[in-house]
Amino acid sequence: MDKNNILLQVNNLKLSFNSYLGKAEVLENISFKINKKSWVGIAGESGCGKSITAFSVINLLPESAVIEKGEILFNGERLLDKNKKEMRKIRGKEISIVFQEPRTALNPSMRIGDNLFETIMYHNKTTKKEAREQVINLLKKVRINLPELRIKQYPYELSGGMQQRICIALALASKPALLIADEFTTSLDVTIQKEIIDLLIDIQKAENLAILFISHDLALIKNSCDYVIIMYAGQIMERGSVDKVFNNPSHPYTKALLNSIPTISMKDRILESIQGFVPSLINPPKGCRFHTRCRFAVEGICDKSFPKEEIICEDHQVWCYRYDELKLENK
Amino acid sequence: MMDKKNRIRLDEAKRTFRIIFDSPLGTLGLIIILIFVLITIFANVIAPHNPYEIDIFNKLQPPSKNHFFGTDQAGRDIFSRVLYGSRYSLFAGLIVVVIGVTVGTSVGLTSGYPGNKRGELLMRVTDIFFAFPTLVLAIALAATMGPSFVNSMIAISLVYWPKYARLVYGQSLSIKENDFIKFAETLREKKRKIRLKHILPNCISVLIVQATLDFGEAILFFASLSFIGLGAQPPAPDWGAMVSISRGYMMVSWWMAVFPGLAIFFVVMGFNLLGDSLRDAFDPQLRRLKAYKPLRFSLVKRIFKKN
Amino acid sequence: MKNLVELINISKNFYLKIPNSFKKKTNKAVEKVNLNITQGEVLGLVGESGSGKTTLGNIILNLHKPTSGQIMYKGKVVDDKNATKDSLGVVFQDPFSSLNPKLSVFDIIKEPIIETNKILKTDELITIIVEVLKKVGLSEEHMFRFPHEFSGGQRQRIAIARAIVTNPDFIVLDEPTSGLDVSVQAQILNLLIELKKMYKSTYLFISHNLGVIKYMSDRIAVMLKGRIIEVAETKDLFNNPIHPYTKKLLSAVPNLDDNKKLSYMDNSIDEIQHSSNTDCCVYFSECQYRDEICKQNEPQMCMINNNHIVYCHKSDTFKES
Repeated sequence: MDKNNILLQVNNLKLSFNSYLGKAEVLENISFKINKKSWVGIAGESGCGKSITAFSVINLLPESAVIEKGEILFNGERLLDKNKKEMRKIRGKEISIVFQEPRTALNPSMRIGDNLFETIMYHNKTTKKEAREQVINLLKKVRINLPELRIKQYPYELSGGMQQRICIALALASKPALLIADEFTTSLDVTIQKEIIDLLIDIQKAENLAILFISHDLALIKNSCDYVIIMYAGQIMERGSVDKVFNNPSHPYTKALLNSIPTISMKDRILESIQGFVPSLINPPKGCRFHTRCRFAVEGICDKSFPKEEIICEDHQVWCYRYDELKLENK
Repeated sequence: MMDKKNRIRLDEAKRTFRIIFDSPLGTLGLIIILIFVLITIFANVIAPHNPYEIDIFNKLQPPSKNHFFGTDQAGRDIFSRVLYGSRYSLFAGLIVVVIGVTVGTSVGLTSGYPGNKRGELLMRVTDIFFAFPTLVLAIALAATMGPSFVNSMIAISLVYWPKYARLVYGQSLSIKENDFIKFAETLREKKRKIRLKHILPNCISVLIVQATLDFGEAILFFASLSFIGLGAQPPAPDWGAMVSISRGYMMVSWWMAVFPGLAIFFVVMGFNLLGDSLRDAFDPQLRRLKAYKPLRFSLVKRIFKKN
Repeated sequence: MKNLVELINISKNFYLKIPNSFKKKTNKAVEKVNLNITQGEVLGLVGESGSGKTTLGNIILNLHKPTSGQIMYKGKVVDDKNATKDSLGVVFQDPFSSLNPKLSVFDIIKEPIIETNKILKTDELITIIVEVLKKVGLSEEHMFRFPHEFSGGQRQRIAIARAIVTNPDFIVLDEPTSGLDVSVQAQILNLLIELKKMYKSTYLFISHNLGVIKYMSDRIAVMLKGRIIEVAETKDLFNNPIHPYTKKLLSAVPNLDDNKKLSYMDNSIDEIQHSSNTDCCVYFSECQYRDEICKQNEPQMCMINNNHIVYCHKSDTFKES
């Protein structure tokens, strides 16, 4: 691994919320890295901490969040040490983010053009005339037809898919090194989603862009990302390249999750469901947090402490005490 | 089985109370109001003198051991009058809020669901009432029916109910978008039943907050009406009337104006503080996101330790 | 197998006010829908946003009166007088808004029993409700709790319990698992299948998720912009989709399995051509195979085989593949 190739590195991140009901241990021991120009997906169900991980990279956390341990390195710089002013320079310029709801991301009282001009002029320090040219180029890049017309329109006049394209344009305006996409196709129809993902694939190749992609849709991650991180209740269960993880799922949770998704090419079989439900993060289960629902959990081992990293191969790691025994059952 | 249900409801109430107690200002407000309620009930026991008893030889005396708040221009003990005055103010506030909430909620519910043209028409009629300035209406009523305690309460109630109608109307509009209303509609439930069973319970928390805040405001309004001579008439120990009389004597006998004024101030502040902390207590978002603050009062902690 | 529900030429228009004008915009949410649901089957209704599937579900539930057309239920025409005297069950999408937060689970499930004019004593009610709670995987101790104490999956179970407690013949499920996590979704889907076997009921399953629809349905109807464009048995639809839009939809779904036995062609083109002709085919603007005839006439129903119908002028050319 070329050290210079690493764009973002998160080491041993531990985060909790002080809520009214108690202390919620939201993230525990999160470590991963994103190389330049690579597309990393974080997959998991609701409450697993995938969005919070992304938000802690750019420090968009609520008041009650406390980072107890860990560091986040972006291009070698420690992000957690930076103050608000310094983070503001990085956020939106070198790290951009696209959210799930385009309606709330775009200012409804400003025309599309004004939305974009503001960002470009702030980050790139250009005049309005230069900015206008850049805006038109950006809109062409995200494949919006008739960009000169679109600049004058308001967000509500466009469809959901087009609004998301505008959000992508906004995110790309400052030529970021890292783009964070937080469930950003969840509110779109499946045919529009395909267009947007295809667009993003093309843009990523052309722009030298690294993407951190958060989604609960495993099929989508499989068809877009290079690497995937499987999270459950604030812990990383499995991590690796998409090929390796999806062809050889080595964690009981990953396997169970893949078996519980109904697909259109599935042969007639019963969907396996994972019994029980996601535990509360206030007083979470000790050790591996999946042990309460895991068929293979061993009392006294899985509920004592979190397992150490098992390196299956260069691009595939798993955190499970019983990995060695269970891998034979995979075929 | 039924007591299990009640136990769970009790737990919910305890949770809400705990949030009020967590906020020191809210607790303060609650204590102030409780003090005034006790004064209202037990005024005849606490008051050292008869509030109507005239004693010309002791008129305009400054505060002393015998008369804690001094005496007024007829020698009456101001402390006793302030205590008794709480009965007028709190009673007036209670009547106004009760009438306002009852009438307003009925109108709001009827027009809010199903919220078609008929409902909108009813709302426009409500707006006409809303447009009346309270003072003007009170003066008009006083002119026709004669100034009195009862008439002033009628005047304020007539102007107060539209606020609740609007509030409940607004709530109904958003509540009826929920799927559980849709479900009731698929069962062909009668509209009246949907309003009372589904919409009203979801408005209650907003109504409680608004009623609490308005209680204080109504007391203030009533005191203002008494101040200009349209409310309770002398020699009634009403705070507004007392402040009004003290105008002539303020330069010399400050105690005549200050103590009834302070009474009004504290009771209104109590309701405002309680109302604000109730609003926070009922808001589900704030309940979740508020950073955890430990209970400050150890006595209260012991009571609610289970939670 | 007789038809439980028959929809004959159902259309529903909504009139939207245009701001700053007296005119009204007509939104043709559902247009000339003909559909049958046989007793004992699961009919899947799939479409993207704006397809009208939710509106159609609402019409079947008698929440909206159709602008034109007829609904027949058990052979009788449904109108205002006799609507829903038999109970229909319904499960909605959002588990958070489908339960009244101020009512306990007991009151929530009690509601349909009371509304269908059954007067029962409290003891009898408790027995019935406990039984139905057990069937959906909850227990007696949940009976007097309030919705906010439950997770999304548990709330959907409560909603399902509420739908089945009166033993309805027909249940409409409007995206029942769309708001749930993947692992919970599997539980709920399996529960629904089990309940259907137990109660021998008929389902109308509305969803935009093709994987879920494939898992649950016996037959599937595809909707686009208010019209039904293809209806087929599940295996048939996925093995041999005829309508170009169906093919586009299937090709857009990201695939989790590797063996891409089935590859669908995405045949839409960037050059969108609009036609102001109201009789034009609803997919005309994006279709690769469009023709003059598609512009002039609405497509009629074509039978591909016994249980597969499609509304497309070009269906003959696709049949061979």
